[in-house]
Amino acid sequence: MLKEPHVGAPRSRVDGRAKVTGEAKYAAEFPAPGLAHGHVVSGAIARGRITGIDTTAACAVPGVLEVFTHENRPRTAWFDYKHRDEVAPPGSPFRPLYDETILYSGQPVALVVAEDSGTARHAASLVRVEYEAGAHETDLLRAREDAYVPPKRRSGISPPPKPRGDAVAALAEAPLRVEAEYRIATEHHNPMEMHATTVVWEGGGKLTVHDKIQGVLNSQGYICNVFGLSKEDVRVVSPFVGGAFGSGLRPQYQLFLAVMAALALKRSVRVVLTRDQMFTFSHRPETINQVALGAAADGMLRAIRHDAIGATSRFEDHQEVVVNWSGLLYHCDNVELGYKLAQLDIHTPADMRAPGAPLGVFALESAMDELADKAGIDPLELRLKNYAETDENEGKPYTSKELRAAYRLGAERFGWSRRSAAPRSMREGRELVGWGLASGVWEAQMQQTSARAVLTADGRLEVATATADIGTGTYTILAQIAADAFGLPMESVTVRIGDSSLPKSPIEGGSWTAASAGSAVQAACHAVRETLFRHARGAEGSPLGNADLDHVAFVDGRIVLAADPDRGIGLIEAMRAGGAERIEHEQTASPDKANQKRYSSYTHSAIFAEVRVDEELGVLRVTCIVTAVAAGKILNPKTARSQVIGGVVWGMGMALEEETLADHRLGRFMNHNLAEYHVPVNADVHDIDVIFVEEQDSRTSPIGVKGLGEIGIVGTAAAIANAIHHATGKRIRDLPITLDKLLERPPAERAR
Amino acid sequence: MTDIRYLAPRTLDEAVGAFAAARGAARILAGGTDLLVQMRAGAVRPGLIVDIKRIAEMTSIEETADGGFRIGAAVSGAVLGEHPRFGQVWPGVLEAVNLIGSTQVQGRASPGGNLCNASPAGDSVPAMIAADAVVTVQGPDGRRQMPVAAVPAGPGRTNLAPGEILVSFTLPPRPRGAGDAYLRMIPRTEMDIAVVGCGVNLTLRDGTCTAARVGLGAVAPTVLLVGEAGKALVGSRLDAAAIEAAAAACRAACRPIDDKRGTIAYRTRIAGVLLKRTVGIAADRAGRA
Ligand SMILES: Cc1cc2nc3c(=O)[nH]c(=O)nc-3n(C[C@H](O)[C@H](O)[C@H](O)COP(=O)(O)OP(=O)(O)OC[C@H]3O[C@@H](n4cnc5c(N)ncnc54)[C@H](O)[C@@H]3O)c2cc1C
Repeated sequence: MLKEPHVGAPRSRVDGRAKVTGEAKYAAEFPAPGLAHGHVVSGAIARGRITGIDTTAACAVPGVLEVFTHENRPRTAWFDYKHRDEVAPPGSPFRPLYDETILYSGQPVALVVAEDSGTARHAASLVRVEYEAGAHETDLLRAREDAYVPPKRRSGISPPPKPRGDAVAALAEAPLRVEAEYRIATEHHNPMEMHATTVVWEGGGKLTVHDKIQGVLNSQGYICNVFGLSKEDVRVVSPFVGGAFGSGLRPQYQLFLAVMAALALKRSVRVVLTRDQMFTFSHRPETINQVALGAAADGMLRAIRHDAIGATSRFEDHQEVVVNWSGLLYHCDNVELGYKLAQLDIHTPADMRAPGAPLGVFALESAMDELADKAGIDPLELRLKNYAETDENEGKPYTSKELRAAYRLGAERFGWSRRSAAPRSMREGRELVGWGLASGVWEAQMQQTSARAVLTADGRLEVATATADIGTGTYTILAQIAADAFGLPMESVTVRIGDSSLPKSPIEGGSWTAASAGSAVQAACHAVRETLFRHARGAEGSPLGNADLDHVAFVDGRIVLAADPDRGIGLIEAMRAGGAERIEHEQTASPDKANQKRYSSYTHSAIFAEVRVDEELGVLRVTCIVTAVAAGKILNPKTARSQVIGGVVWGMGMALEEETLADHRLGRFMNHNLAEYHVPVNADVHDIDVIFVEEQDSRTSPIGVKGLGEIGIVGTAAAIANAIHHATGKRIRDLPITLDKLLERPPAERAR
Repeated sequence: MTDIRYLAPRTLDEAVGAFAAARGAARILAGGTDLLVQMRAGAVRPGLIVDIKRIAEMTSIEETADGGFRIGAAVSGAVLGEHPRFGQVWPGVLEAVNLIGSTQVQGRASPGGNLCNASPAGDSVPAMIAADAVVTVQGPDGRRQMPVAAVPAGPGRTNLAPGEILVSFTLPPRPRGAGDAYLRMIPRTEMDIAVVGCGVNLTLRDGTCTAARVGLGAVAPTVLLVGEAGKALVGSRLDAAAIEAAAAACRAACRPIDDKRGTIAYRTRIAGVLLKRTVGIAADRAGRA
């Protein structure tokens, strides 16, 4: 019997012990001799200019080394394009301490560097800044009038597809119509770990940089471009990231400031942001959706219109895929989708877990629920009726799509058939009970990635690629894939990632890391295997004499004949026979271009939610979520389940709690801490049941993986909002659904 | 760095002496779960911190000879929760104290700090007011007593005189048929600030309410003793009309603010809802006592 492979089996995180014992080092934890500490002074107005900065008092504090402002900062690259990172949207990126211009509230205006962090923080409080304020706008409801179609598309982000059919006419003729506006508040990422950078001054012009980043190569490229350094002199090492959710895709201002200070002072410097300052860059853009659905009396969709306006900054056109999902999820011949941006005096938004998708899908899936209500059809039946067999946006078949099975398995587990259709018809004790569902969708992608595998004569295997693990389990799945390639226990495998000196990898995002890094590691391992196999065959008296690679298996540290597993040769023996101390190969895995042209690839989910509403208080609880996910091959059901649960909990936050509120008079976010910015607490989270639907996909990536990082959040808020409607009869189209909206009909509720 | 002196005296006299001598530049430190947060935010910058947790009288719980309780102001919620009898006699006060924060916060947070922080939303305060608790304070001029409801002066302000330290809470002995309860409304399930908090303490004799006190939090600048609500209950058999009258009194007493957690209208309405529910629980307990 061949042993059960690691891939596909639930395995605990290989880095779990290092994390809970503190052995795992994060960006702000790397020591350096003579380390100086920087504290950022944040600006106080939303727009205008600095008319004066008085740093005298700060400089006078014993232990302060330097106070950097736009007036005295060292020269850096002048042109803004030099500041563009790998994933910068079109525009002119924010350049810290560039000049006296204030672009948004909380913008860094000075960096105080001192011998210790307490001194730096105290001295930072003594920096006096004077401003001349200009008129600002942070209210999307006002700025929406000036929304525009972004003239330049953001790389990697598909603009809405061309209209198909005639949605306007079809809508006008449709017997059933739903038209409404759906809004989602600004949200912040709130990773546990603050953004931080430790720059280690190595001497001889060399820097080692520990940055909180989802792609070390992105930081390295940025540093080299901005400061005119060569890649040989800058190594970025970030083996662990304490959550980022997209906030670490682009280098943030603390990286610039720490490197700038280290170069100027010629010593090691660390800059750690405070929790408050975590609200001064990167957020999910506030978004307004207008959706119109037209259907025949039997619920068949005749027309879909979906227009969205997302907030962006004055200096960059941050774009997301918000509306395209509405052309994708259902079969419909008349579809018109539009996406615009509106500029505000804020920092540029950033990708946040499944950027765009939960915003647009909330709108679409709420509207579908409203349509089901109007048509008097069960919401699940309505979705099955309008099921899309192909990608009608692009006119392509799917690489795989098991959404139908997801609906069925989710409904069975949840007990959907016991739902009574009418709103307010289910009750237990003093609580109303509501059941709702929604669909989720996210793109499945693979990106070109390189990896190295090294097998040494002591029977140990090391695999390496520059990618990041932001808590998703990348270390673990790479160890599984590598161990399986050689039939080794996972303990024999060392995984190295998060280091710019390792083989190239894209940023860790878009749910593509498992498919991409996993395929690259497997390719490198297979290359090593081939060399090893040659040695094995050449060994004296080798039982593998005439076999080829397809006829052998790697089991328990041995290469054996698949047909006769008793005959084989040990890995170490084989290496010895070939006189090899180590076998090393680097391979690059790339997506199959032909497949990409011919097929569309998406992951899907069906989410079922139960809420209980205490109507007298307006309090509600999400008591059960069942989510059935079709995402191709599941490498590790344990870490995969955690990923999806994390997404679902965030979906609950999006539905009920998360919202960064701006005081528009000041143009500033008000609730910039975790006491006032609410995320779900443990007691808010009840049963979450994750089902992985069987789905064979051989076209998205060589290892059958479609990715899981984002799908858990998409659709979850819609399922909860639909359940709330079922419980209470109230349709809230404005996230988060806070209790005031549940009790008093909000002004934003404008069904037309 | 800003210089902060830290003292942890073993006697109250020393504490009062140092506190008074610092003339307003000092802060008392009990659990620190409010004070440290405020210092981190730059809202307060004390020159001297007087830690009171080494003073025996302030960290002990005693049953008084007449059957009441004396609780040191700096006793943590966790320690109070572990007391073998307190929670049986004053379940409402205990549940109010234990609602503060999380397990970690409970290990530090004290009822004295909760009261002296003078937040209108402090959870233990309505229950203490309903319990008719009295505090002992000591200052440069000696000791005095005052009812809990008289301590807060407004958000973040108390009626303690300069140099005065809150020493302990005294809760009266319980007659037969007495029960208390505390409920709060918060938007999320834990770790949140009360939108409305309601403490009820009542006594039943043969089904008739003979005494009732209602404390209401987060609906006015200070936690309120709603006398009218108590009056509406006394003499009744806690029938629907009496309870509705008490709820109406609670709503009438509300002078809340609008904020992210709840509007004026919402808080006002919820005050009535919570009153009804809290009375239900307290009456249940009274029936069993
Ligand atoms: C995460 C978190 C969650 C929280 N949740 C809640 C909650 O659910 N409900 C709630 O009500 N509160 C909550 N709080 C606030 C806080 O925990 C409580 O108010 C707690 O009771 C304060 O007690 P303490 O002993 O920590 O006070 P401290 O912080 O030590 O003191 C608070 C204030 O009172 C003064 N003071 C303390 N003791 C005395 C004394 N004996 N004499 C004179 N002055 C004194 C201090 O100088 C300070 O100004 C929370 C706080 C945190 C950090």
